[in-house]
Parts: sequence; C-alpha cells; structure tokens
Amino acid sequence: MSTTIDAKAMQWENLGTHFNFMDLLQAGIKNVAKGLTNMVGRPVTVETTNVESISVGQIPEWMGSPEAEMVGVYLLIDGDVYGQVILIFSLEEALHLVDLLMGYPPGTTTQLDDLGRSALAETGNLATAYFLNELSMLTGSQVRPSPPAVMVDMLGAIFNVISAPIAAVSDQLLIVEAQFKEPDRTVTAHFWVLPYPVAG
Amino acid sequence: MPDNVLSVSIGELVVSNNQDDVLVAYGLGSCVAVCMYDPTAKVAGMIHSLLPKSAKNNGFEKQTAKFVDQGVPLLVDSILKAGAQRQRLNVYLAGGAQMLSAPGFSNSLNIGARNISTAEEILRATGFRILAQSTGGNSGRTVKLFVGSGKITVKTLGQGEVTLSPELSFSKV
Repeated sequence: MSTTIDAKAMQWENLGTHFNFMDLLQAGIKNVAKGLTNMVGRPVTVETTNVESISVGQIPEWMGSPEAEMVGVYLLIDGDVYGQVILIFSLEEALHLVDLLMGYPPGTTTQLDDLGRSALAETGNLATAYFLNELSMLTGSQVRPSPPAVMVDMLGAIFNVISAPIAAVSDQLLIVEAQFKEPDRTVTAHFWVLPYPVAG
Repeated sequence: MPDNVLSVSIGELVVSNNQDDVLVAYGLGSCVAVCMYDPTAKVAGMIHSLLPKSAKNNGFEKQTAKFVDQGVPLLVDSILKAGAQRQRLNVYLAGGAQMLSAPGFSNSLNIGARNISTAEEILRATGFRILAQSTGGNSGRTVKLFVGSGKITVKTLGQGEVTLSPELSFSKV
C-alpha cells in the first residue's frame, strides 16, 4: 500500500461526473449506517454529516482534549482515489461498543484485550467497506481499503498519523465527518474520510 | 507559583523568559518536540514538529517548525534573540513514537523514527549535545518545559508523568 500522493490520482470531486460530490458522500455514509445496523443488530443512525477544512495544528483541539485517551481504527484507501479513513471513539465508548458487538451486558468489558481490538477493527473494516462499495457502485470507480489498524492512545498522538501524509503538501486537512449513534446513545462513532490532496 | 500554560501546537515555535510559563506540547505521537533551555538566563524554547524534512518546492512560502529541519534553526535563532547563550543551552528531545504497528502498513510510514534521526543529525551538525531524551516506543507523550526551573516532564497514558533527566533518558526505535 502506497501513501505517496499520486499525481495521477483522480480528484475525489471528479468521482462520477453524474453525481454531486456531497450527494455521493451522503449516499456512502447512509450505506455505512446500514452496515453498522446489520453488525450491531440495532438501528444505527447518522447524526450529522459535515465536510470541514481544518488546519493541521488545530485538529486535536477541534475534536477534544489532545491528551484524552481515545481509540482510532485506521485504514488507507487506494485505487482511483487515495485517502484515509478513521473511526474514532472515546475509550469508554469503545468498551461499550465491544459489549454491544459481543452481546455482553453493558459494562462487561472494562479493558481492551485482543478480542475487543479485533471487534473494533472489524467495525472499521465494515464501515469503510460499506462506504467504498457505495462509491464504487454509483461511480464505477475502483477503490480498495487496507487492513485496519487499531490505535489506543492520546488523541493528539492518533491524529499525528492522519496529519503526517497530508502535512507534507498542505496545511489544511479536508475531513468528511459523520457521527453515528445507536438507539441507547451510549456510543457515538466519529467516522472520518480524509481525501489526499492531488499533487500538482 | 502559578503555572501559566503556553500550548505548543503542531508546527509552532514558542520561546519564553517568563518564569511562570510552562511550555506544553500535548499528545505527541510520531511528532517530536525539541526543547532548549538556558539555566542562567532562564530562557526556554520548544518546537513541535510533525515531519522530518521539507520537500523542495512544496508550495510553503515560509520556513516553519512543522518540519524538523527548518524548525531547529528557527528555534536556535529565537532563543538566542530572547537572551539565551548558545554554549549554555541544554537540549532535550521527546516524541517520535511508532503509532502504527499493524501488518499492511509499510515501514516507510515510520515517520517517528525519521523525525528522531533528523533532529539528532541536525543538532549534532550544529554543535549541540542532547542532554536527555524520551523518544521512540509506541506511546504518545505530553512534554512540559517549566521556564522557571528548566524542569522537563514527559507524560504517557501508561506510565504517568516523569521528570526527564540524563539518568532517565529513554530512546527506543
């Protein structure tokens, strides 16, 4: 998997000439909610969808405290367009989600072990696959996700990972953000898609 | 004495000679913080850099502490202007963790290690010796430099907050 910003990469905005870019993103995000609903076994809804341009230095503060202990499930996108996907939870929410996914009573999971990490990785996998599948289906473009990586650390440290590939060419990060909630509203998942800027 | 926190965000350079100030870089992952302190003049400086080297013709007009190779000379310039003397400067380095260790992410992503080696090279080439460092590993760090005392602390989620000193120097890549 290459993270080089490829001059040949198609601009995300030009994906599918018949679609408005925002409509395309919305369709992809709706499909993520469908996938998460199937996975969790209860109706997951899209709370908000935003497209924001944030300066690299302000990213952690924008989301919360840069020292907060968070969980990020990270994937790369490769193919006709390049980018990154990250699913972000607070540690507490991530533990709730593991309970939901494993069918445990709420509060059972108190530490993130290998099984819990694997369940969260799978959530990132599925969310990204549903997003990219919808994009592919609507536009005919080829896009593939990498395997997921689970990071548990300070928010700022997690954000270094997504900032580094972009910061070499731009001070601004373009973030497509969607928030998902399940009916009990104990878990808010922040799903971010970060298109790589096209060089040149 | 009240602590007056000055946050040093990604790409920023902060220098202070106010004894109540604490320079803080929160949540360093692969980023590095280069810290300098003149114990006689009680002047402190810190940069928070994200990437090792700036590419040529990268479209950025100004030199920026976002890149280690540009940030270190900027830091030296600023701290000397603020009253520090070069031969008295104590130099510390922190950060440069490897945040991604999952299979499928190539080693070229190990920006943390490249940030550390670039900082070490530039500091050595310009005649500075690193007094103590907390670098590498897989955990994010918060680094504080207290202007009044010159004390440096490093905090991780696993190990809490420790004072960085030559005896407690930690480097693992």
